[in-house]
Amino acid sequence: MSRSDLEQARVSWLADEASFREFGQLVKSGLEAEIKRLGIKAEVSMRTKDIDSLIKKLILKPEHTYESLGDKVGIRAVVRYQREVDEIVASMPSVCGCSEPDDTRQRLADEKDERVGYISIHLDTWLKDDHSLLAQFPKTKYRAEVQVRTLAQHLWSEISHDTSYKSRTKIRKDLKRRIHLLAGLIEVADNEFSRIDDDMSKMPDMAEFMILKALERQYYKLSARPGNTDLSLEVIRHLWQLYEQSPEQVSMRFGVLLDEKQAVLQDVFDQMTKTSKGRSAFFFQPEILLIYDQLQSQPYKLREHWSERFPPEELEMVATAFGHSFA
Amino acid sequence: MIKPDDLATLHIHRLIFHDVPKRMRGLEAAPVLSEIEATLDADRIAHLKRRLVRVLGSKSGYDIQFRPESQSPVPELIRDYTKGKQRPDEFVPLSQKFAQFLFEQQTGSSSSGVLSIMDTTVTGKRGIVVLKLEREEGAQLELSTKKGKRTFEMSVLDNLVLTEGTRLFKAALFVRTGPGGDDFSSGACDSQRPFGSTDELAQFWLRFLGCKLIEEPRVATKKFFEAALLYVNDAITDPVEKTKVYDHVMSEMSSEKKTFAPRTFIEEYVPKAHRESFESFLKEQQVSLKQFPLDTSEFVGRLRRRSYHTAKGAEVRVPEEEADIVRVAEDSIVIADTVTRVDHK
Repeated sequence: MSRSDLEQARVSWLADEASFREFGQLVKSGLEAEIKRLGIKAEVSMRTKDIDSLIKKLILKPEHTYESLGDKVGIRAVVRYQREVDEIVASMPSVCGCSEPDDTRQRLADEKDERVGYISIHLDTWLKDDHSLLAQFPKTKYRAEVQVRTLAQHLWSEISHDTSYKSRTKIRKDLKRRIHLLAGLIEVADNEFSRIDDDMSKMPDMAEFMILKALERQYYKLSARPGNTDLSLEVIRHLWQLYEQSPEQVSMRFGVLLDEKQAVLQDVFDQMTKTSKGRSAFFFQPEILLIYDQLQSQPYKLREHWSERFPPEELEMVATAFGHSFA
Repeated sequence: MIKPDDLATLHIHRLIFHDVPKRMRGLEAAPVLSEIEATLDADRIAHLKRRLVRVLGSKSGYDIQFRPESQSPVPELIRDYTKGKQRPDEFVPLSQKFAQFLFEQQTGSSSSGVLSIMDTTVTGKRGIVVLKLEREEGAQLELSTKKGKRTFEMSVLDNLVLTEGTRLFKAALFVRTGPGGDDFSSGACDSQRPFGSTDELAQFWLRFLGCKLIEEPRVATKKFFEAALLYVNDAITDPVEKTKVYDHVMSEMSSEKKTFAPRTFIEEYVPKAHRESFESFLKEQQVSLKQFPLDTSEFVGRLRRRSYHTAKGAEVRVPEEEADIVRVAEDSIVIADTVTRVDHK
């Protein structure tokens, strides 16, 4: 690429960056809404390429022009478990127009490809044909690369970014083997995290884990703010027996509760996001749904039971947020 | 009927204060009316909402409806303002009409106060909150001028509404639920004088609002009593439980309490296994689970019991008003009635 082409790319990007940022924000909002709908805990971030990175990439990839360079906008969702990656990727077509996922698992399986490393899924995305802002952000120009990863995949990606693991340059066989082993280790860790999570939530003597998982699945449909797990388990341990049902039966209640009350709950969550004064520390916790459920059915028993272990003022604040008064 | 979910989704969009003194013979007085609405920040709105929930959702909160024969202009003002789209320019004049009418009504022993009107929505439905706060006679409220118009300083809100110690609230919430003149869910509370009291002052707030309780206390009490007995007789099969719940019903209905809360009764006295079905049964029978003033005047005779205890330990209890079914002789007791059930303890 000639010097004048690079200079032109610089000028173009300085002019275009703001609109690409706006476009990226649109795609990010759509992705966040979908992740919330799925009830998945995720960190979602968006960036536009800084000008130096853009020029460097054009120098390293001379086959590209400014126009054809794909990842001017990058959006990343980092989740806990592989099954959550698969769920999000499967639902991407409902968020935006998108390419087939570029799954490095398949590429790494190709013996001719010299690169080594760990899996990661990328999709090229654009606005859908019926999007109201399609004229402002035509799909021929505005594209974003969406990456969906587990935390372990993210770890690999962050470390390998500053090394030559991803390089197309031939790597010595013994080094390559060590990189493969390391990547395998991380994949094993990822699989084990998923299996342990599954197993813990099925153990009959760990009812509070099962209930917490069921609560989280619904809670993350209302808020992306993570709770304190120790506090969650303590509250659940103390309160779940108010139901006088099996942990499986209790766990099944929260899906039904959200189906019936999502509009009310979302409204209250939105209000609580706007102000922290007078908001209970127990509010942005998954077990808030259990507390709400009990407030609906047996508020006085809940208060009696709650006060044995937790500050009554905190329950009072939660109750008031949900329109209940003990006065 | 105002439910917790309604209070949870209450949004306050506009708010205004007016200072409404008491009319006293021989003294000239007039309400001090704000000319523009107050400016609110998110924290104050949230705090104000919490105070409203605590009073309107409390045991002193009752469901109300417009009283057709009322002379109060309040129902018509609310009907008119909540019809159709929001009309922000009409909010200040509307609130001034409320204040003017309150001033006209405030004579005798009713106290001076600050009237606040709020333009609200509840799950997107238009609504109005009316709030009266007592203030000490002679206390000065700070007035200021914004854009050439009078308004009260935020200190009114901070000192009178948001202070945790302030208990003297009269509040009401009206939520439009449909296009008709009576399509409203409404609730009111008077933390000074529960509506169950019969004195004139207790009725002041309802009279000002042009409203009445949705259900007469005597009707609400009788409906609960009859539904509870029906459930005890038909659904509770264990004789010990049956007797216990029956005794609790009779005891609560005969108590000196001013109010009765079915939900509290369920939690305190109904066996766990029956709570859900009893609550559903009450709902089926159109019995409100909210607190109502206790008034047993419709069935007071059925609460009184006459007991006969025999030498061999038999016990016969009959309603006082049915006492003539029992004939007692020197060595026998005869009950002229049909046996419907025999329990074995």
